[in-house]
Amino acid sequence: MQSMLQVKDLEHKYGAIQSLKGVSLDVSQGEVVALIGANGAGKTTLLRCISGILKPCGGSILFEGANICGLPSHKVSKRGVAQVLESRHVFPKLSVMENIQMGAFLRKDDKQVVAQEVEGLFEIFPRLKERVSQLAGTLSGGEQQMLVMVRAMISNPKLLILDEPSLGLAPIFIDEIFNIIPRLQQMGSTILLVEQNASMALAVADRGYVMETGRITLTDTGRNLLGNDQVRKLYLGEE
Amino acid sequence: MFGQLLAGGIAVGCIYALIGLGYSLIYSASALMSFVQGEIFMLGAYVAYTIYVSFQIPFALAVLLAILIMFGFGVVLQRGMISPLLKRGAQQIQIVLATIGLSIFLKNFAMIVWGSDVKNFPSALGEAPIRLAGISISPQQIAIVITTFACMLALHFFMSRTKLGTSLRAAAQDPMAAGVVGINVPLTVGVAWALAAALSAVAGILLAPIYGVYPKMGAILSTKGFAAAVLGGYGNMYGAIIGGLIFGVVETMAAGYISSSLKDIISFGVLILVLFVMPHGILKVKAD
Repeated sequence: MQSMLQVKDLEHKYGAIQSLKGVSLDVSQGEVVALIGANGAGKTTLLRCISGILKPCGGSILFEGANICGLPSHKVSKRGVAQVLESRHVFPKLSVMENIQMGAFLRKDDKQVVAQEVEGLFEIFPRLKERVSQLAGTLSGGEQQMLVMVRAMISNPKLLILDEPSLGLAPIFIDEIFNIIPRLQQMGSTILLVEQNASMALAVADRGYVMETGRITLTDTGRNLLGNDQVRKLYLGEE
Repeated sequence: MFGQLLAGGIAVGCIYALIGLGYSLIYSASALMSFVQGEIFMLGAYVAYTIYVSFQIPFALAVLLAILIMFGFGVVLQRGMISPLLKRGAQQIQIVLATIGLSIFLKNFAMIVWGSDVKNFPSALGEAPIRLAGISISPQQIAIVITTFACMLALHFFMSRTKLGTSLRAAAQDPMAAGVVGINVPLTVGVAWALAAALSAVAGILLAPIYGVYPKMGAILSTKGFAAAVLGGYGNMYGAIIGGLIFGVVETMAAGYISSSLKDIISFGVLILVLFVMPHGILKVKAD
């Protein structure tokens, strides 16, 4: 399988603290890949290096064969990488529809085409349809999470990166978000998913990586990791 | 008398509103305060004066060129000074000082280039006052009000109905998320600074035929434009407009009914009183 995203020996520092100590990871076309690990392991840092929010200090990031390491985030977005940020980040004083339109900011397609695709996404997220003219800041946490997912999807990304999509959500919304991931995969999406909710993430993932203090310590299929004793003990809370 | 003062107050309030809009745009786009708006106002008037009077270019073209030049000045200011300072770790306080420094530099620069005498900027509309329902209004005052409202409508349309304008608001609300969806945030910030500069220049060109053009013309007006923005709710576009109009009317009424030497004491007194009651200004900006 052709690798879509190839991260090699990536390093990043916050001041004197080395947050990524040579991380390598790859994602192939059509895959769902989960990255799990404890708080502070460097998962979000890794995602933010990929999407250009943070600047790595070593290693490389190849996307479809081209090095995107160090590009500003709007240029990474242009290559076809969409990221759903941790803790949502809606544009609070823009309406739900304006938020979605900002997701389509780089698209050159006809407005009609985009509007039809928005309708299609509303079938997956029907709650949002009732709230199109509401300000995004007034939505509940779960609705905001759905909004940022639609905002990312409408850009037609080649790679969708989800950072902690279940964080702070009510259980009913968590189930809904995790039901949607396989549907997106069936529709052809490639997804890189970071989650603290390791069991749910590994259950929907083809492959998984375990990260500890700036390093990848384990990688296997999602199913094998779910059955791995060490993973069960450390991340699934089982004795 | 009341109608006359109200008309005059609205006209001068429009000038404060245009300058105040600039402060609010810069604040909402980059969370910074720039104190060079008054000198951009002054430079706009000088540039228009030079093109119109010295180079004898037709009025409309001269004004358009002057506004474009000041729009460019805003881009250069943000890209050439503010952004590099921020990249080197400057905070709000250093930016404030840098812009105050630039404002003093520009005042002296204008003095060297154009001299410190007041240049007469002939109104393109003539001087004959128009009588309307017992009120006497100069054509320039009418031009000020019409131009200001046209600018505000255009700005409102741009910010709420166009993709670039919406992306400006998005980038101001959450720069990180804006970058991730593909918005070039440094560009939107540059556009906001440029629009602020263009609005100040428009105000300068509008007021020039009434008071003339001189190096210190922007000093007190920039303070009143800043007051307009604070009074309306700092960072809120519509607040700056309301604040500017209120400030202009209060000041003109005070000058007319009480004493013109007390007008600044009264208008700034009212400003402080309003802030005691509404510390965030009239249209409160909620921090997200």
